[in-house]
Amino acid sequence: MIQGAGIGLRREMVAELAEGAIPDAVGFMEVAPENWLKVSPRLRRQFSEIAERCPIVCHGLSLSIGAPAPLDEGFVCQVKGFLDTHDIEIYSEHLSYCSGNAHLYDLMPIPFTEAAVAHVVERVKRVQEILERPLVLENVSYYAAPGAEMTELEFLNAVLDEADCELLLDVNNVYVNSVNHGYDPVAFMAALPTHRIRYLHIAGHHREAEDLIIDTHGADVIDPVWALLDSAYQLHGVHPTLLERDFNLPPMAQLLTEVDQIVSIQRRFDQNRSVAAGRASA
Amino acid sequence: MSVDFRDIQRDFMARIRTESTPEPPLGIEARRLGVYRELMFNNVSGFVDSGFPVLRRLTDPAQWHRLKRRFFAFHDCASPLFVDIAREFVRFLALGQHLEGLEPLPPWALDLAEYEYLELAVDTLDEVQDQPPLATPEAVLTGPLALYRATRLGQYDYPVQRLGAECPRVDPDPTHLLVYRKLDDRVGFVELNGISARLLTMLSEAPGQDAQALITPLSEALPDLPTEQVAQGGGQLLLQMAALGIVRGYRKG
Repeated sequence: MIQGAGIGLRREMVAELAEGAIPDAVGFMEVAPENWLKVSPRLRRQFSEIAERCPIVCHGLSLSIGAPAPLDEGFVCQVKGFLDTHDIEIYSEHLSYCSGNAHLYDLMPIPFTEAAVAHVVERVKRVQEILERPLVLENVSYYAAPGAEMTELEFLNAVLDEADCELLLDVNNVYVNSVNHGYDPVAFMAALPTHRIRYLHIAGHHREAEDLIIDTHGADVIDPVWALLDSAYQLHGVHPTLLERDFNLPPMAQLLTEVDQIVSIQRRFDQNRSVAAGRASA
Repeated sequence: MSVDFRDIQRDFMARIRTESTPEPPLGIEARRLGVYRELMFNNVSGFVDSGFPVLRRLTDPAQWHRLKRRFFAFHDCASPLFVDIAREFVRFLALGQHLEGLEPLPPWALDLAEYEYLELAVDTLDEVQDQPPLATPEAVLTGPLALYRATRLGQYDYPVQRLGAECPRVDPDPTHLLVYRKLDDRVGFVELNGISARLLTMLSEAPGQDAQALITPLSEALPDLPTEQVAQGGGQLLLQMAALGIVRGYRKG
């Protein structure tokens, strides 16, 4: 079980964390299995050491669940081996694709169509079968919607429902997309199924233009996104929430101020809930 | 009947990969297609840069950029792992079929790329747990031997290990470099002469031989040298390799 607030475990941090203490505020950490399947023995040992002391979730990048090419089942088996070795319960991926006849190593938007829903659903089921775990899918940020015949929300909800899988709600992506595609982020989140939410992501981004945000994970979280995290908790209850930071990585102490902020928002909601519960029983 | 969504995906990917700025697909703003083109190329580009620091440094920046653009546009990478992008880049250079129209690279460029990749490949080889180093280097002269599995031998037409900021070009000279995981887990290399490379290749192909069995065929292959000299040279090489952990004791698997 994961709880509280988490951070992405980057290679730059490994030496420090393997030798020292894991900060109290960090309830769990996330890694991309693609970055850890083939590493030097030294890194592997340091990772194992950390994984023994802190719950780890896997957040994949290369599964390419919506790809036009066949599912790479050999790769899914490799991921399963990694999850089993390190006793990792949660594997999340992007509702996206990153390859066709070749790997392009970054996320592209699946055309929002009925046929694509059916395609993705079939593949999610196969992945869940191989992994013997639920697949947790993340709503991705996107900058264009080629071939869309339905809305992002309709597409996302159709996949979650028909594949019967879980949701990694990325609050920053909701914000990014609401600006890039002109929709109401709170209404979008309100229409998502609470019971499918496994955990949340929050991150910083880069504002390219008034109507275009790039999801960089390279800056501090901005206030409107913090406010959206608040809304997410209000709508769906408090869920474990991970801070994503992949570029311009600040020193750990500075990163932890954002982790603390997640924790304090979570506490506020928990307290309100217990006050309300107290009132109800009084 | 609407278009197959998979064709839309293939078309989208083709427009992201192509070298010259393409027309955006119907209904997509050029600026937004541009975001994908830039993000995705920069991502792959970063992995190529970090995999080949020396080759990058010794190549004109604009030429290096065009080379990576060509790689991204034409070379189909099959591996889902980022660490394999470097391997794919070497394959792209070695195949050479998509290099047409680009400025030619120096004659040693492919050798250097292969060598830089070898260092990365050795770093990520599986951990070897069933080949402990010999208790003392001298033990190499008495028992059956094996080549440590976390080593790879590179054979080059140029002394690529010398290339760097201070040495921007080299002349042809047959070069054998043994890249290996050192006892402290970092990656190192040793330069070998042809005879030493041959001895270690023999050991890797037929593990379990002792020093004598390895050295005898060498004397036969080098009839011009006194047997004693070959034996001494071979023994010294094995001692040196044992001290580095490259030659280890043989255990029946």
